[in-house]
Amino acid sequence: MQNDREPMIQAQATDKDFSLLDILDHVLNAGVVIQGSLVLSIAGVDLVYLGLNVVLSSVETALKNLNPARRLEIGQEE
Amino acid sequence: MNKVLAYCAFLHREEISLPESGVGGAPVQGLAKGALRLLWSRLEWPFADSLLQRNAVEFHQVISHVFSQGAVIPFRLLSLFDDPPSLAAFLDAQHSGFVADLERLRDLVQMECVLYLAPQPGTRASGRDYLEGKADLLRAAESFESSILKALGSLSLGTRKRESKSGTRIFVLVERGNEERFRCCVGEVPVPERLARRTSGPWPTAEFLSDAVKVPPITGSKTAGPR
Repeated sequence: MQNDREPMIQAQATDKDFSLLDILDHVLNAGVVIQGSLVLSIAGVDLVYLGLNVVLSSVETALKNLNPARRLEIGQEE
Repeated sequence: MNKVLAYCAFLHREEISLPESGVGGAPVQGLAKGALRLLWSRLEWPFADSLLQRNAVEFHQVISHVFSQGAVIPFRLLSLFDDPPSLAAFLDAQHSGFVADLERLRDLVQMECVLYLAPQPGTRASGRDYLEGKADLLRAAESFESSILKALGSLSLGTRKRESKSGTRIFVLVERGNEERFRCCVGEVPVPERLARRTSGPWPTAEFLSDAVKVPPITGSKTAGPR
C-alpha cells in the first residue's frame, strides 16, 4: 500500500518543492493545538516531547536535503 | 501503539464529499455532534521520522479535500487522542467554540504574503550584510504591510502579522473566490530594495481562529493521556 501512494506524493514534491515546505509548515505550525498531547507519556517519558524532537529533526533534514537549485527557485519566486 | 489522529472540523452540508483515506492509507472516519463534524483516523504512533513528509502530505490532503468545499478548522499533525471516546469527549467540550468560529469564518480563506531577504546569487553575505538586511527587513515590513492593506482596500477582512526566521509573514483574510484579486493587488505593491516577496494560499483560516479554539483549555489533557 505504501508503494501505491509513493508516485502521487513524489510527483507533488517534484512539481513544487516550495509547496511541500508550505505544507510541512502549515500542518505542523497552523491550527488547533491539543494541549493534552503534552501529557502523553509512558513510564514517565513524555512521548510528545520525544515525538516533536523527531519531527523537528525531520523538518531540518527535509530542508537540508532540498536540491540547492530548487531552493534558489523558491527564494526567487515572484 | 494505536492512536486517534484528528484532521479537521467543519459544519456539515449534504453536498460535502469526504476523502476515503488519510495518513498511512487509513480510512478517514467522521465524528458528529449536531452540525459539527470532525474527521479522524487511526495512526501507529510514534511514526518513523522517515515517514514525516509523506504523512504531512497525506494529512494535508485530507484537510484540503474538505477545505476546497468550505471552511474548516485544521488540527496540527500531532493532534493525537487515545481512542474515539476521548475524541468525542473533546468534541463535546469544544463544540460551541468550534461552531462559532466556523460560522464566523464561513466563506473566508487565508492568504499569505512573506517578505524576506532576497538571496544574492554569487556573493557570500557577511555578518554585517546579514544584520543590515535584517534591519532593512524590519523597517520595510511595516510600510509594506500598510501598502498592501491600502492596495487591498475592502478585499481584506482582517490581517495578522508574524515575525519568523524566514521573514515577516502577513496573513490576510479574504472572501473565498477573491484569491486571484488578492494576488493581483499584492503584485502591484513595489517590493522594497534587497527584499523579496512570496504569496501563497488559499489556506484554512488558522491564524484567525479564536484563542480558545486554537489552544483548547487543558481539560482536553486527559484525552491524550495513556491508559
